[in-house]
Amino acid sequence: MEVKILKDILETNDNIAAVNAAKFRENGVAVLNFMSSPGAGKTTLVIKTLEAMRERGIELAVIDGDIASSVDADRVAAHGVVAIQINTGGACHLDANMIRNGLAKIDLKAIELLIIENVGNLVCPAEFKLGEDKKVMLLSVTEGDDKPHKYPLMFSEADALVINKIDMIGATNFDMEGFKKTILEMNPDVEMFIVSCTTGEGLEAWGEWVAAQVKEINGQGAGA
Amino acid sequence: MHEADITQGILDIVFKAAEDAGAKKINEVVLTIGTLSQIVPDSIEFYFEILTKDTIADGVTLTIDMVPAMARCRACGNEFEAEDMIMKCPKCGDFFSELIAGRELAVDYIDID
Repeated sequence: MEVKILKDILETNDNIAAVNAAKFRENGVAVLNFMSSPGAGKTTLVIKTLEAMRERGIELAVIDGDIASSVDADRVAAHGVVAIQINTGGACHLDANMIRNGLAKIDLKAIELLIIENVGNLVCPAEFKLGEDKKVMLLSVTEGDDKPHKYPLMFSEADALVINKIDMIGATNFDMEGFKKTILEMNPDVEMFIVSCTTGEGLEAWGEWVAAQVKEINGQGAGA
Repeated sequence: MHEADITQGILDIVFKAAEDAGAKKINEVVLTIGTLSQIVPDSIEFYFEILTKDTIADGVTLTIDMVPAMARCRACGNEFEAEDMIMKCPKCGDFFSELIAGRELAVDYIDID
């Protein structure tokens, strides 16, 4: 006897992500999901972003995801923002349920922006919705320009791609023009930012983009 | 990735549906998996065999229907099969395409006694 089911296997995570997203909308919080391999510069970019938001009077909080330790949350909290650490204890990505639990420690009414710094990993985070508004991917030039072909899902799902450590490009054979061409073929809508969190190059444009996202997502456009 | 967790997720759905239908035995499980879903069918089969041992699905036939990835060109509306994430329209050459099929990961139906 045939029993029709037609059920999506990742439905549970997607449903919780939708609940998270509704909570963010209700409280007027824009949410960015930062993803990259370990060491690309996510935490440093989080800190540079919070400095840029501080200049513009935008309050934010951070959720840091790692297998173990509170190294990242401690670094961010030292700059005077609420930074919650989630330890996955082995899971290689954050999922919607972990975020839902983490929200209990954040006063969403007090912020306009939540940055979720995902576990360092170019594979899995792209597969698990958290309830975020935008996916921000980082790649540092020292990782090589061949990564888009090898990790197509993350590169094609990113809303923004931050190419970091541009100050080090001279020490690599990174082909920037070829890389950009491949990215735009895979993801024509992506916004690319070429930055150095060390020298500050490109961070002004990055800060403007983040601030614009906060205003647009929270409905504070020019007419509002 | 995570085929073990995903297989467990499949079995949670399957056992619940079987229980609701009063099944004594599950003969076949049919999955729908898109070619761009990043899932390895062989790994699902591997974990399926392990996780169904000594259950009402022991010895079950696992059928995986692979759905080809299809894209629709946003410039000219042409629909074409997408082999990877670089979706160039074969008709007009534009790269602005959206995926309309190929990321499925679902349990379609089960056959029970």
